[in-house]
Amino acid sequence: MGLDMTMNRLPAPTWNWLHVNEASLAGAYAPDEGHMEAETPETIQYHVVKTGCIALNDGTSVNDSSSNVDAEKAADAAAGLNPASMAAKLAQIPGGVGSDMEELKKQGNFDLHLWTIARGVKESEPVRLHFRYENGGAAQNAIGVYAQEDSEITVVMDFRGIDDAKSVSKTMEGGFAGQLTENVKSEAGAAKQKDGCENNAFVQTEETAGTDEAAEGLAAIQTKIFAEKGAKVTLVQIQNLEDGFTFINDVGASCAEGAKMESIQIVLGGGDTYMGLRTNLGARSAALESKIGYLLDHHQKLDVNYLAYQTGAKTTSRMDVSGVLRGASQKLFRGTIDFRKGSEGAKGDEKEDVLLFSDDVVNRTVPLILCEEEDVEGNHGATIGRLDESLLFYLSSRGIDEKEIYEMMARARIDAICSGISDEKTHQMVQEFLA
Amino acid sequence: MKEKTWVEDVNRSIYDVKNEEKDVYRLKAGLTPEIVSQISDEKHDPQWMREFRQKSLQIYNEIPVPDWGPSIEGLNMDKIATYVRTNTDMKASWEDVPEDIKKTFDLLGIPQAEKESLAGVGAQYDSELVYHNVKAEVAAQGVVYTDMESALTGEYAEMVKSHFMKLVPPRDHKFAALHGAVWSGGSFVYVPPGVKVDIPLQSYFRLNAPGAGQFEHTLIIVDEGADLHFIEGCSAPKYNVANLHAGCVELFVGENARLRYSTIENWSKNMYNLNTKRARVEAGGKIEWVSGSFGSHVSYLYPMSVLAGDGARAEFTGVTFAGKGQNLDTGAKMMHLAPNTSSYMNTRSISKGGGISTFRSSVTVMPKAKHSKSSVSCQSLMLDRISRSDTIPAMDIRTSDADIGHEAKIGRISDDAVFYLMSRGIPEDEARAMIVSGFADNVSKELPVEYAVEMNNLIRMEMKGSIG
Repeated sequence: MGLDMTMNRLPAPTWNWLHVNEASLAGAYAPDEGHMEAETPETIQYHVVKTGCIALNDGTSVNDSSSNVDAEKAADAAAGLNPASMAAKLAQIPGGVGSDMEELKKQGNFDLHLWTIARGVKESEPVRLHFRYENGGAAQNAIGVYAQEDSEITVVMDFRGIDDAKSVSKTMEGGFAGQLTENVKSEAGAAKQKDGCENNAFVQTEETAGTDEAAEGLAAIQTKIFAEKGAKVTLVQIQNLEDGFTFINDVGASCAEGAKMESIQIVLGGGDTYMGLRTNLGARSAALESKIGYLLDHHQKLDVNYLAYQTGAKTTSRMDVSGVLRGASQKLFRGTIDFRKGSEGAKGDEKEDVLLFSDDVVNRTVPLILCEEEDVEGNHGATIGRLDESLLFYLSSRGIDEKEIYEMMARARIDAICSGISDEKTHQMVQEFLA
Repeated sequence: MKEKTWVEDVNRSIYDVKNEEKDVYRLKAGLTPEIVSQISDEKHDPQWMREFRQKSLQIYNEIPVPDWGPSIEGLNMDKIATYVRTNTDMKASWEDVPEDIKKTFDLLGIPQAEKESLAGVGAQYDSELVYHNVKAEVAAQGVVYTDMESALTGEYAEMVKSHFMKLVPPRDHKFAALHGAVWSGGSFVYVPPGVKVDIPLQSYFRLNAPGAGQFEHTLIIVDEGADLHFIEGCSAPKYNVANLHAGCVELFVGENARLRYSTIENWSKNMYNLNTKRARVEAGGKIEWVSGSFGSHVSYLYPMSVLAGDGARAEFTGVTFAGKGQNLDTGAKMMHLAPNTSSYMNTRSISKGGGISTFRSSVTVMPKAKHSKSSVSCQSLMLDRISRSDTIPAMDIRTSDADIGHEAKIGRISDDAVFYLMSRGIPEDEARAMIVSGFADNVSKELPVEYAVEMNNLIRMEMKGSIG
C-alpha cells in the first residue's frame, strides 16, 4: 500500500558513503486530500481542475479531458489558456522532489487547485493558503499558480496542525485563520453545484477534533508554477508542524523570458521534512531568487534539494540558505546551479550560513555548480559552525551572555529571511511561531 | 559574438616516445585467480601476500563499478595485461639500465634532475622498477628508500606488513581491490624520528606497454618529528587501446612530522587513471598534497587526509587541466577525527577543447574534532563552450565547535585582463596562456622550480590548441 520513495536526487551524484545522493522514505501513504483554507484577492482567479471536470470560480464549468496529464494535448491546449490548458502546462513542469512525488499522487484523486492572474495585473495582496493537518492524518494537496504576461502574484502558504492553528489564530489580532474561509467555502460550493463533481478540498476547521497527544502524520504538497513573459511569482511557505509529522514539499517552477520566481521557505517545525524546489530558467533573463530559513531542534530532520536549470541567456539564480541546528537535529542541503548550453551571460549564486548549537547535530551541505557554457559566472559560499569570535567578543563585552547571543543570532537569521516578505500578516505569523 | 583565435596544437614528443616491446615478459590479459597467482610467483610473494592478493580478487569481483563518476565503459579488464616487465633487474646505476629505457628517462629529464636536485630516485618501467638509488648521505641518516618488493621481504618486512593496505583496504572500492590483487612495483620510504630530508625523493612511473596496467604501491612512513618531500611523476605514450593505472599511495605521517607529496601526472590520453591516495596524520603532523593533473582519458583521483591526532593538519593544492577527449574527475577528501585539526583545500580546474573537468571534494568533521577548522576554495575556468566544468563539493559537519568555510567560483577568462595584456603589446594567445598559467599559480609556486617550469610548459602546450 505504502510507497517507498526516493526523493531529492542530486543531479550529479557523488560518493555513496556520504549518503547525500538522495533521500529515502519507506511506506509513504497519503490517500486523503489535505485540509486547506484559502483567501483569494478579487483580482486573482481560482479554479479547481479535476479529471474531465474543470470548475471555474466565476460560476461556469467546462468539461475538458485535457486536464489529465497529457503532453501532446497540453501543448495544443496551452495556446488557448483556459484552466485546463494551464493545468496541463503545469503538469509538465518537474518538481524538485522528483518523479516519486507523481507516484505518491496516484494514491488518491487529487484536484489541482489553480490560481491564475491575468495579463498585466499586479496584485500586492497575497493569496493565502492555510493547510491544517489532523493528528494521524495522511494527506496531500496539489496547487497550481499561473501568472500571465507582466502580472505579479504572491502566494503565502502556512502548514500547521489543526490544534496548533486554532491556538495561534486566537492569539493573533484579527484572527486571519478563518477570516476569509467563507469566501473559499463558497468557491468550493460553486464548483460542486455547477459541475456536479465531488470536491473534498475544503474542510471546515470546526469539523475536526483536537487531541492532547503530540500530533503525527504525513503531509505532502506539490506546487507547480508558471510565470509567463515578464511575470513575477512570489511563493512564501511557512511550516510549523508538530515534531511527529513527516512533510513532503515539492515545488516545480518554470519562467519565461524576463519572468521571475521568488521563493521564501521557512521551516520551524515538522519531524522529517523533505523539500524540493526545481526552477527552469529556460528563457532570456528569467530569474530565480530563493531563500530558506530554518530553526531545527530535537530530532528534526530537514532534507532539501534546490535546482536551478539555467538554459536561457542572461538568466540569474540566487539561493540563500540560513539556519540554526540545535539538539540532535539534522539538515542536508543540496543546491544545484546548472548552467546549460545557451545560458551565455548567466549568473548563479549560492550562499549558506549555518549556526550549530549542539554537538549532536548533523549538518550536511552539497552545493553543486554544473557548467557547460563558457560565458557564465557561478559562485558558492558557505560558512558553517560557531559564531565569529570577534562578534562573540563584541557582544559579550556589552554584557550579553553567550547563550543569549546565540539565541539572538538564531532569530536574526530567520528575521533576515523574513525581511524579503512584504506582507505584514505573514511577518506577524512568523513572529508568533518564533515566540 | 565574441572574437576567437585559434592556434595549432604542438606535439607531445617527449611524452609520446614509444619503445618497441622486445625481450619483455607479459602475462596474458585478463583477471583470474591463476593470473593473480602467477604474479605472486613472479614476485616471490610471502604467503600472507599470496592470500591477500587472492582475497582482494574476490572482493574485486563482489564490488560494483562506481555509479557516480565518469564512465569507464571503455575499460575492459579482459584486455588489460596486469603484469609486464622487461627482462632486466633493478639497477643502481643509469649506465646499467637498457639503452632504450634509459633514453626514455633521459628525455623525461629524470637522471638530470637526480643529479641536480633530488636525494634519491626510483624509476618504474611498466610493472617493475628498473632503477633505484638514494644518495649516500641520505641513507646515512637512516632514511630507507627502496622498491616495495625488496621491502616486503627485507629488514622492514614486518613494518610493511603492518601498514600495507591498512589505510586503503581492498574493500574501499573496486579499484582498490584490483590493486590489492595485482599490485607490482612502487616505493617504500621510511624516515626515522627527527630526520629532515632537505631535498626531495622522486619516483617516476612510466608505462610503455600498450593494453597494460600499472599498479604500483607507494608506502611512506615519516616517523615522529621527521620531514620529507616526495615527488611522483608519471607519463605514458599514447596508444589506440586502453591502458590502466590503478596505483595506491599510503602515507603515514607521525606526530609533529611533515610530509609533502607532489605529483605531476601526465598520462597519455588513452589512460584510465583510477588511482587512490590516502594519508593518516598523527598529532601535530602535517600532510601537504601538491597535485597537477594534466593527462589521462579518464581520471578518478581524490587524495584523502585522515586527521587522526590532535592538531593534525592537511593542505591540498591542485590544478586540473582537461582538454579534448579527457574527463578528469579530481579533488580531495578531508576527514577530521581529532580536536584542533585543520584542513585547507585550494584547487583550480581548467576545461578546454571539449574536455570535462569535475572538482569533487568532501570535508567531514566528526563529533570529537572540536575546535577544528576547514577552508575550501575551488575555482574553475571554462575556455570555450564545448567543454564542461562541474563542481561537486560536500560537507558533513557533526560538531558545533568547528569553523568551516567554503567558496567556489566558475567563469571564463576576463576580457578586460586579455585586453589589458594586449594593450601592452602581448599577442592574444600568449595573453590567454599567461592568464591560465597565473590561474594555476597556486600549484606551480608550491613545486620545486624545475617542476614548476615543467608544469607551466605543460599548460602552455595545452593552451596552444585552445580557442581563446
